Amino acid sequence: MVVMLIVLFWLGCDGQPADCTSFECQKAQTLDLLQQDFSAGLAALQAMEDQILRLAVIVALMERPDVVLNPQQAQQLCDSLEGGATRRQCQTRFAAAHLTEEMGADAKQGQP
Amino acid sequence: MRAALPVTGYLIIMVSRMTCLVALLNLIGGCDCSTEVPPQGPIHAERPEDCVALPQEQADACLYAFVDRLPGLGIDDMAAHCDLIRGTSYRDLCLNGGMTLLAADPRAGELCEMIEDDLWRDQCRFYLLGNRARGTDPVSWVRACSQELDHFRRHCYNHGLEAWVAGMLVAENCQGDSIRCPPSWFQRELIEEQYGAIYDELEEPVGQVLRPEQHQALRGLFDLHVALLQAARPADWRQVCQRSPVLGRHSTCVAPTRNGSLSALYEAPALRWGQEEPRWW
Repeated sequence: MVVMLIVLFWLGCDGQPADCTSFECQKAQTLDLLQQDFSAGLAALQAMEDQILRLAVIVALMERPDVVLNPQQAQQLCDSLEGGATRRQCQTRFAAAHLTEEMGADAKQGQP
Repeated sequence: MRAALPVTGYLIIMVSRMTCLVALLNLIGGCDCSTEVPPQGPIHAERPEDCVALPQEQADACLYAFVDRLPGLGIDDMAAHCDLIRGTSYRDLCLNGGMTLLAADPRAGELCEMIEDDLWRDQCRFYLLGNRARGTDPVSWVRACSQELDHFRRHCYNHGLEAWVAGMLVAENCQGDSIRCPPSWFQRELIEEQYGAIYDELEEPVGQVLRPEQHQALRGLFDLHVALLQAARPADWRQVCQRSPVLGRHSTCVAPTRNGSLSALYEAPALRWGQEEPRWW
């Protein structure tokens, strides 16, 4: 009976993902896109009307220590922010990450 | 045959129950396959108070965005504004952003000290040093940078250096206005002497942090800056960049800019420093 109920609940689904319109969904979708295909993600980001959402996407990316952008990507990404202070913080974060990455690679290369 | 009847009856009952359940599910719109919430439009907040009613992350991002939209705030006001943010990440960013706007205030460092995250706090401190480099003795600033964490030290030097060079170049457009431009910036010989002192100071600490080719690249940047300092006009800057294939590839030379010039490096400090854009074209 329980299995039937589960099957019935799934029967009620159409199996298609819902339209991504919420703040969280759009943020997650754009983040995924930026990581899979930076140019496409950047285009999606730049097309966003919602400045707050755009900022949230970039801040979420800034909080990912594994995300390292090259200087040109960092500039393109950060230029999509309107405010001077937020844009400078974005630039500094990715510049620092890029340097840390370089130095991490140095440390690995230096190991016997 | 008799044995089959109860089974058939059971199946009929089950099918009818399932039909009812499907009907019920259809009635309530089926199961929710996603965690979607109803669609929403862009957030329009005219005042910080408008942000507060939003869900937490949106409220935090909204309040953080206001850091650029609240001119005239003092240190205490900025701290109070950032304190409205509940998430520590956005609050730290807000405090850091507030510092960049209020770097000229002697108490700006207090905003850095309120930052919870160690890295952001250090970054805030070195940014403050860099922002203040424009109006202070560069050698003192380099010495202050040398106290920073290894991975921020080069940025501390570089940011302050660029700010300082930018300030000097703006000063060239001050046309003798000693109120807008520190007097020492008019003395090219002194500037070059100070620049040499910076380079001497940099040799040792930077050499310890970077591998040889990185050190060489950084030296190239400084050589470029020196060459730019010696170039009197923007047209000469372009010649400096074109003269050396190595330096010509450096981002200072190739950064996409408004007029195909080097203005990207000098734009922000110039606009902050003067009441109008410098006229070096």
